[in-house]
Amino acid sequence: MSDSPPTMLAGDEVVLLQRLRSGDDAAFAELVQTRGPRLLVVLQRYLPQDQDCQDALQEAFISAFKALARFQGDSSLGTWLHRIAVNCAMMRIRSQKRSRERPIEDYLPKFLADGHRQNPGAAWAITYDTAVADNETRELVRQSIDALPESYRLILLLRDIEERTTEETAELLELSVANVKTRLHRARQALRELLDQHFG
Amino acid sequence: MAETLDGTELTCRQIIDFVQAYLDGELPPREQTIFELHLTICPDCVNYLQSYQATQALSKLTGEDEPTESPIPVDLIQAILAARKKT
Ligand SMILES: [Zn+2]
Repeated sequence: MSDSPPTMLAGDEVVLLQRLRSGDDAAFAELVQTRGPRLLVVLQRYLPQDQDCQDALQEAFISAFKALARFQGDSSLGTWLHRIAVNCAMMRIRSQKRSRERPIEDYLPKFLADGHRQNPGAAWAITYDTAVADNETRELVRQSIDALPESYRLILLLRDIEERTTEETAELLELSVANVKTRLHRARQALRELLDQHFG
Repeated sequence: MAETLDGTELTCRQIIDFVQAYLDGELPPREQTIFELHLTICPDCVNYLQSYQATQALSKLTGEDEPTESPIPVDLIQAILAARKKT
């Protein structure tokens, strides 16, 4: 490592990282205790089963421990752990048998024969500032995302919430880049339809 | 004969198919022009485009909330720390 401290790390993270790298047992316990709860909440968004979340959390910490030497500090420790946890969740999901989901077509907008939308609806009354201020609105959005068919929900989470690139998302889900783009568009369209019932 | 472009060359259905490509700046110039012409004559598609963008912004907002955490089980912490010793 160079002499200058990594830029994205807070002062206490630099110290913790040094202790971890020196193999300090107490530092590992501290890391798991302080960062574990947040990561578990993240995992719960991806994995419905409690046991799966706990297993994924363990996998995430183990891979983080192994990668400690390579961690450059180009993000905060929290962001770095978050990414590892999401990757572990994706590996679990990939290895699990897909349950059948409702076809996405059920959620997409309907059109008339001439290409016009069947129920165009009104402009949304909601503004960004309302949504920022209003917990209920965000809870409604969260529930609507959770109502999407699973494979589409995952793509929306990775691209629009985790802000992973199309390429990263394709790799994590073992899909082609073109497929990720198509599915993301459908996922957003489906979510828009669900939200339209409330905001339109 | 010179081609004239107007917004009726695409249906609302096609416009909606192209929304993502339009927002990503991936439409070829000719399609982009037709797309934008369509928006000038079709309020429904303007609403759709705006609500599509709002949907993206709202999704992103849900990721910015501080989650409610609860402590993780002690035996899970111990299992993780024990697993480290084994690797
Ligand atoms: Zn239209």
